[in-house]
Amino acid sequence: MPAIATATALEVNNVRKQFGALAAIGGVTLTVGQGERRAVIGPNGAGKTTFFNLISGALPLTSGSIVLNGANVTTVPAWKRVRMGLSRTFQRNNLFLSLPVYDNVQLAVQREKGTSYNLFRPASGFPEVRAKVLEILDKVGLSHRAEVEVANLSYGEQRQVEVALALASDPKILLLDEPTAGMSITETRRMIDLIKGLPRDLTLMIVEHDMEVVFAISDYITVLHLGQVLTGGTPAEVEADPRVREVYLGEE
Amino acid sequence: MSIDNINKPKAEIADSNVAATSVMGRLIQGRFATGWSWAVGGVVVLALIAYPFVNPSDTFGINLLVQILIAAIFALSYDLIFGYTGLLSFGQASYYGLGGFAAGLLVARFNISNFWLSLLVAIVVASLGAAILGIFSIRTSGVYFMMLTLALAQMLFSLASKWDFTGSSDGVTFTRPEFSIFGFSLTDLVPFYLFVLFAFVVCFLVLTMVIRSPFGQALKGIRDNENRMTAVGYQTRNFKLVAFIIAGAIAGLAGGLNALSNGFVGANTLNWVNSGAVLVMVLLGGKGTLVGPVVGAFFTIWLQSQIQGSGSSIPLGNYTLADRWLSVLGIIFMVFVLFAPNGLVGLGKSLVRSKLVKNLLGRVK
Repeated sequence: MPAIATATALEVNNVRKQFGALAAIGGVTLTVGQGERRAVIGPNGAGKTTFFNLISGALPLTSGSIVLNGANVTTVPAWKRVRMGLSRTFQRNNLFLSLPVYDNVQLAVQREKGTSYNLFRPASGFPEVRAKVLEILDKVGLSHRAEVEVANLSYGEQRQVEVALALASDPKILLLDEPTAGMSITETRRMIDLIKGLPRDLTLMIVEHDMEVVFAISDYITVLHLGQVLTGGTPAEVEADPRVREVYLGEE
Repeated sequence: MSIDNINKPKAEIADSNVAATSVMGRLIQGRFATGWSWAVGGVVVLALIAYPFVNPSDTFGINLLVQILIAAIFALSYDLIFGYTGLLSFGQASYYGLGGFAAGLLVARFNISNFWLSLLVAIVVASLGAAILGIFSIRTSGVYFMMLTLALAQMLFSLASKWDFTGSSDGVTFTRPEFSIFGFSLTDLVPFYLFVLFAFVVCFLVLTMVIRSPFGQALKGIRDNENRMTAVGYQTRNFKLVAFIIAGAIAGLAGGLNALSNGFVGANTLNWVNSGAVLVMVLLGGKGTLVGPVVGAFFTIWLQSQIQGSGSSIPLGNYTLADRWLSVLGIIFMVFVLFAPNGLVGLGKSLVRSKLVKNLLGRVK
């Protein structure tokens, strides 16, 4: 069980997701403590992204339950889970491509600040929204790109916008789906620093293929294989586990 | 819990001031650009105000401008749904028709001859219609959304073309309500034209305000990526419904003005051809801009009047060019979809950005 858990942030109880005859997730149970940095790893097709989609509410469960900070959210729609403190990024960049970086982040911030139904004032005329947008742009290192349309950013910069959108909702639990995929080495280092610099009471779950990132960030690793939990442990334990090597090597 | 400036070195905090200035720079630039647009818009409106006084005998031209302005209001309403929210609806004629019938039937069937009340009822009935049809339509997306908006709209059309109350296929003729402002009767052409111009300017300003608001930003977010809007906590359905109602109200105003201008309203105003016409106007002018639908409405209605005027003498097989107006429009539509998806406004923008113009401007300096 997690080393630094004080309270439970996320409980996943015997969750199944069936696509026709295929059990993409076949009965996963796990608990993540508040402030924990949990990595979910596994070979391609292990069900990592499906698992994230179930937790965030993007996909309905076939059976099982999900408890978020003590509240059962199994049937709660995705947009409401965000308001309960659950935020996520996507494996493939999933952004507002025709809008500038600033406006992308502003959309997430104005939702959190509750000004989105205002029809009368210009969107840029809310000082509290503006301050928060600038703070987040600064945090992810995109201040100098604020006016650029997202479609014109590099892939790595778009990954940074992904994280900015997730942080803008003031999450208590943050799900990061391969945040460094497709990034250069410099960009990856920068992303690691960003993630490490997040407040310690923020609960983090990260799906990642880059082991350097996994070892740099996580204090507990869950290994998924064929939709089930193969094993779990500290980074050192998982690294030493022969079964983990087997599923990875067996794949290749 | 918030994302605080924990462990942040001072240099990084100074960085955020740089960000602030660059964002300020963007806003100032934006203001400069919009300053010019407002100036041009003001000149156009002044020219439109002056037109009937300069050419008082040109009733054909003034009538045409009335039609263009009404079409422009209608097209603006559709752009909120299509250009800004990204919803390809084939039912915008429903609200235009509902507005027209509400305004006309109040006079013809309830014997209440009041200009203002007719317009008010047109707006209220059309918004209610948009709310009801919207609740059904926005539950679907993609092709299903298109088909549902089309089906609901055609239901209203066949109802109106069969029901005696709505004049079935003959339509409803009524006496235009008498009303005057500052002693000018609105049943006269020029005061009515000026009133329609006023309504157009108000609609344009209201939509400008809506587009710039946080709500307008949310609509653009839905257009770009509805799935991501949900992932940052938006219940997108509510936003789409409010957009439907605002667009319905404005389309209802256009339909009401049209009925009051003709003293007639018929089931054809509800037909999908009318929804297709505003789609063409918006695409032709440039979707997702407010100037685009206005340019598109002007171009389409003007071209129609030209072709149906002089085109009736141009033979085209067994028909004349005028008989084939819809084919002409269809060809123009296809050319724009294929070669200029951002419409005339998009063409204008790329022309301004092109090297040729930059070089010319450089020489002037």
